[in-house]
Amino acid sequence: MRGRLLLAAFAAVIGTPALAASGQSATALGQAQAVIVMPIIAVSLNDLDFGSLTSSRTASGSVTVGAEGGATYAGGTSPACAGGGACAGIAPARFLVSGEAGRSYTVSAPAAITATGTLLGGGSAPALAIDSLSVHLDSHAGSVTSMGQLDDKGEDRIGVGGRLNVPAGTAAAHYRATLTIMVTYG
Amino acid sequence: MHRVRIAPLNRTIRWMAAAVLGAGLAGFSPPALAAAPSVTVSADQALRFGSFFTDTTGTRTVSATGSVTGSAIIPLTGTSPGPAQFTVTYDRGNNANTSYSLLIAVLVPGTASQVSGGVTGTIASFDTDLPGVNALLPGQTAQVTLTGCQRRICSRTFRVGGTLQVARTSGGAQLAIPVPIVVTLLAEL
Repeated sequence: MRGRLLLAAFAAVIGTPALAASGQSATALGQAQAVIVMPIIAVSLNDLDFGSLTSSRTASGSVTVGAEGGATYAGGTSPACAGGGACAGIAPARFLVSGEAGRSYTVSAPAAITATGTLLGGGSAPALAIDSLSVHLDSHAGSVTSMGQLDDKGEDRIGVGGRLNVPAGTAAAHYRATLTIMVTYG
Repeated sequence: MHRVRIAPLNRTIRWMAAAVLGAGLAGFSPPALAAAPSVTVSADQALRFGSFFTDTTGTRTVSATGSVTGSAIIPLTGTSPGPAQFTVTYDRGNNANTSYSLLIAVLVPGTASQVSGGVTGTIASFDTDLPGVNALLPGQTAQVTLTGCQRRICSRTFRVGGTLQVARTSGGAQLAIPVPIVVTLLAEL
């Protein structure tokens, strides 16, 4: 009898695997990650200002304002400031760029724009061309490039210069143009 | 006349037989006392939605197969998007060499969301490459049969994707949203 019980137990051990403990649960804590980048914006700090100038009746000329400042006159143009010196208001356009700290970005600006004028005596003046627009990014000091990088505060500054072309015999007028730049994350 | 006593000898033989049989059982591949079956699950890799910009609201979907789509967002350089990866492991508790399958239930307990500053991220739905399961809806259990198990340890790695809905009122954020996965063993088949 003992022998039969022993054999039965032996058969049970080799014939049937342990039954699964159904209902047993396990949990893993996964994670979902995302970086939502704050918008990048550019705000105008000051305008591109060519100052006051005189033009020749017979010779065309131009005034160029550098993206980092300074003005040069060519041809029939010359500054028309008190004392004939440099005009205080002449300056490149300046923009403040704000966004995600440390991110690179690109800036695009038009190659040329057109200034519309209003004659001092009233009425519209012939349009003037502004070309050779140049961009300077503070984050790339010393080099002209369209790609910048926001600093630890998420900021950078952009200067934009250009050349105002003045045909001979241009009448006295106030000129204004709209300069639009676009900044996007790189 | 001498009487031969054989009873003690019989007992000796019985004990020896029991010892030999016991030794035979111990030498067999399944242990005499099998361990209790157990199931575990591990999180191997996070669900990565990458870096992107959205003006006010947008969505980005990373599928379990790795495809990436978006709506009202601008993808940016950064971490590459990719699905999460989990591994479920079943220890049968014995070394019996028979094939078997597992019926398990997979559950994402609730909606995964996080608020960080002016950014709210919510994962309302998940998908997976588990056989027969397309969507994992938070709070709803999906049953999966894992076939082809043979050895004592049977493990399967599966991937989980999802759709991240982002609502932004200001600034940006680095989201790290907990995604718990609960695996329940329903049966060994």
